[in-house]
Amino acid sequence: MINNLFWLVPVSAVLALSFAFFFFRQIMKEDEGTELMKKIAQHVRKGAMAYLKQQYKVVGLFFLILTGVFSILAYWFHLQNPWVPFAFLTGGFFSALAGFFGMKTATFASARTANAARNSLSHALRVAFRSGAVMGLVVVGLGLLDISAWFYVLNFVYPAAEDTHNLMIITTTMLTFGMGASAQALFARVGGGIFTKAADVGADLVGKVEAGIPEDDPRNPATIADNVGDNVGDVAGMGADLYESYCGSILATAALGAAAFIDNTTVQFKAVLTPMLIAAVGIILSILGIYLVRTKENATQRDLLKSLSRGVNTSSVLIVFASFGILKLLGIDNWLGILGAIVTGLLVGIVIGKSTEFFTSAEYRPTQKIAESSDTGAATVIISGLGTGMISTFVPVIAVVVGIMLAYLAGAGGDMANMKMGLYGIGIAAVGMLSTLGITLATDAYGPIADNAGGNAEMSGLGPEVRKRTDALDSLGNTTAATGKGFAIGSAALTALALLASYIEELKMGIARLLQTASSYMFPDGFEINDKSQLLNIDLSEFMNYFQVHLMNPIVLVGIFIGAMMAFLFCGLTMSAVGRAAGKMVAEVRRQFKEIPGILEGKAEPEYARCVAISTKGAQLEMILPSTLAIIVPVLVGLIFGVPGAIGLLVGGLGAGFVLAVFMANSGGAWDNAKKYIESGKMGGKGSDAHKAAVIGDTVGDPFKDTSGPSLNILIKLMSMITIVMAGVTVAFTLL
Amino acid sequence: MEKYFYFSATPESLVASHLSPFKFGNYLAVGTKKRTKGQAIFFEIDPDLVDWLPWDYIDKKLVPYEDGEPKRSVFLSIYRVLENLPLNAFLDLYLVTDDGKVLGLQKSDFKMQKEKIVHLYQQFIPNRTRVASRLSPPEFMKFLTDTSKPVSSPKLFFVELKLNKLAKDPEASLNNLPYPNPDHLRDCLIRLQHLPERPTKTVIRNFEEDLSFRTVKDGFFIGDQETFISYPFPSNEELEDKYYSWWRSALVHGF
Repeated sequence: MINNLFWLVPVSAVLALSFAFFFFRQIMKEDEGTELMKKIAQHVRKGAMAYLKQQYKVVGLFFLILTGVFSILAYWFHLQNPWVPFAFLTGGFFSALAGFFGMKTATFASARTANAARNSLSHALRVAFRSGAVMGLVVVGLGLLDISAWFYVLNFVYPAAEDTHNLMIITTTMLTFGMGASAQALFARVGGGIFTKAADVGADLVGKVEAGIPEDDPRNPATIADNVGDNVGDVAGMGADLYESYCGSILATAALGAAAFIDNTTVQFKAVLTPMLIAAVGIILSILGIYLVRTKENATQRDLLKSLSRGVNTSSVLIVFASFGILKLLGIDNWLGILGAIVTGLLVGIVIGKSTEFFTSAEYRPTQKIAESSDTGAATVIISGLGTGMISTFVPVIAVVVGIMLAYLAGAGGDMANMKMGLYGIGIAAVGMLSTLGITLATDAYGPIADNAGGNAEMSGLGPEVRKRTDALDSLGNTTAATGKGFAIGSAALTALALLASYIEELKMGIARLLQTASSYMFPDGFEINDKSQLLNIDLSEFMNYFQVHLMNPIVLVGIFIGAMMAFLFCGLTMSAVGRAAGKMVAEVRRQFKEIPGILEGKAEPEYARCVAISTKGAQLEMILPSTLAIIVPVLVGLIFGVPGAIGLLVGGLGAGFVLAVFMANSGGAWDNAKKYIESGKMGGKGSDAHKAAVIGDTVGDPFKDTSGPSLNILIKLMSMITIVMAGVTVAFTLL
Repeated sequence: MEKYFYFSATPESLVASHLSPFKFGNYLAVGTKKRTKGQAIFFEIDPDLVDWLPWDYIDKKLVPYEDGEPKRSVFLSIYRVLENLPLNAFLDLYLVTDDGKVLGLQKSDFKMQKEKIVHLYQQFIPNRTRVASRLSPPEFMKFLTDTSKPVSSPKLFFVELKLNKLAKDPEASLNNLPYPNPDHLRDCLIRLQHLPERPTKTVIRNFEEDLSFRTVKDGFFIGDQETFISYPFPSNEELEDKYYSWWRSALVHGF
């Protein structure tokens, strides 16, 4: 029975990929429109693929180096599971593949969406949303396929039924493929974020400010790079980010499940399978939700939002009932508590989404107040936006705090001392939050497609009715994107917490490997063990005591400070990177205006590819330092400060990073919408002094919400993943 | 090559050119090196109706460039130009956005509004004063071109700007109107309301910024004591549909 249930996991994964392919085929059947529309779309497609090709070259080099390092650690020093180099590679490969398919679809969809808008709004929504659904389903499909494939293969090598230790080995090994996904996500998010903002800011600074050219005007050489950036940052980058959270949450929870039921292989197997099955059913319900997103021919903005909400909410409600069924079927211990944890995760996601909407939407007072502050100039806009962003961290943090406590208590069956089950509950809450990722990512990924469609409509000179429809889709996409960002941050926080807990299991595996060649292992506090079976009897709190992980240990505090600092350093580096890369874009656009005759009359075509190349090169160069730091610092902290330092680093990084990410995303979103609020006709409207001040706020907020803020999601998880992968080295070598 | 003659209001000048109106407008706004931008407002002039044109000078200067390119501009006069141009020589009016998009407006009869409201006028020639007034556009033209008064000008070129609800109620919200120092505008409107004997109140003595085309109300007006010529501004529907490329540029504000 249990083994049969496992097959639902790969079947659902294949189902997701099949539907993704089906939606892709449906979209490709749509007409791409006029010759000009096709030409513009082709420019964007070429630019996007050129960027991806370049990025994969750089990422490939990194992966080669890191795989080499892991191989040496595994096969030379025997400090690493021998499967780790392969797991690392597959994690990165599948993440890259998901990003590739998602972006390919998005670039094929934009002109088709614009063309569909010539018929009706509902037709345009269908095309745009189904394209976003391809991204969503590819991410969950490939994620679950990779997980189920690895589980099947490793179960062959370490049969779970024979020894409870085997499932520990399987799940902790699988966790390491999460690092491959994290590393690829880091480059996708950071590189993509720098690309998109360099192109956007560069295009605006020269186009609108210097030359007075409107948005998405084909005379602006940076306009194609701007459109490419939407795909690169918001589709591929977001997809990689959530792929990593999705896989990380399932794998971390599986590892925690294996640890929680170490005494019984049957129950242990159920606990490991539960997060995979929840994710599998989530795929089926996401597909159902996608089909529910439809609207009538003369739909209004409100109707569009309702139809998207209908799809997402139906999936979210049904997953609760489906989880109820799965848990009852499995007969897992405390299944009601586990269900409670899943519901908690879903509710936390909803609360964070609603909070993001409240603090960033122009329908509500916080953003309106920022708009009103523009009356007294740019300085007050900046101050107001910063303040709003900081205040806005209150609700997501409290939601996550309450969610953690409820999930812990639910998982532990009300017993605070039952740490293993409590942590399992937290992991399952993260899985619950991400279970319907197929459709939530679709609502997120459809935004840049709608944005590009609007750009295509403008550049192709389509009629006012078409533009109204693409504007409506774009506006809705901005709303869903802001909520999606909040959701991504919340899921990153819970996933990172689950990974933190599963780090302990990796430490045990590391010590077990050491005991294969050494006669004993001595913990920092002097406690010694001689046999790996003794590890099974050490509970979590004792383990932490042996490693002296407590707040009176200055090493832990050192780690916390470094972790908190990493969040700010990372943000600062990525924001500065945007400034430098944008500067190069500005110089190029100015050069083209000067040297290409007829460009502003629309007689000569700008050299779009050059701007794409500049943004690509800028992004690749600028992402190296922050990405390298994100990888090296956890390794160094582990080597120098050992387990207490490493855990301190993760705690500091998670604490500061999560709050900073919320602040940046919400400040950026609020500034953007404050500007749009004024442009809608308030405070004097476009061109007024208030508008000028709000534009400055929006420009400051762009790298906040599209580069640095989203990159923090990855940093939080990547540091956890690296620490997990290096656990074997950390227990073997520590300077202090 | 054909010769064209233009009266530019930004700044006041008479210019001869080989460029047709739309190309001339683009050139005025963005120049040739593409490192400049600037709004332009100009009329095409019928040279046959201007009897003082320096034809010798024109024939000498208005010749193609060495590479055969048409001559872009030859300035013929920069002082008291409007005063000396006959109004019957004025052809179409052209509005140019600061990125070089051109909209042509034709003369048409002015449709008088029956309702008595307050108007806001932005003058271009002879000076760039912004004035609130109880007078309708034809009445305003007659008022300011009455040379028997000390504050007058032989000819006048101005545009009417939107006031929306402020036209009837000076306490109303400005909403979508991007005017600088809105409190001062409101004070001027209130003062005008309380002083019925005053037909006009200066709001800005010298408005130095570009005109926001989206604030244009009925249109542009040029004339003197005897003649009133009106150039109606297109409706919103026409701007969104027929003239969208120009309208998009007009809505962008470089800061």
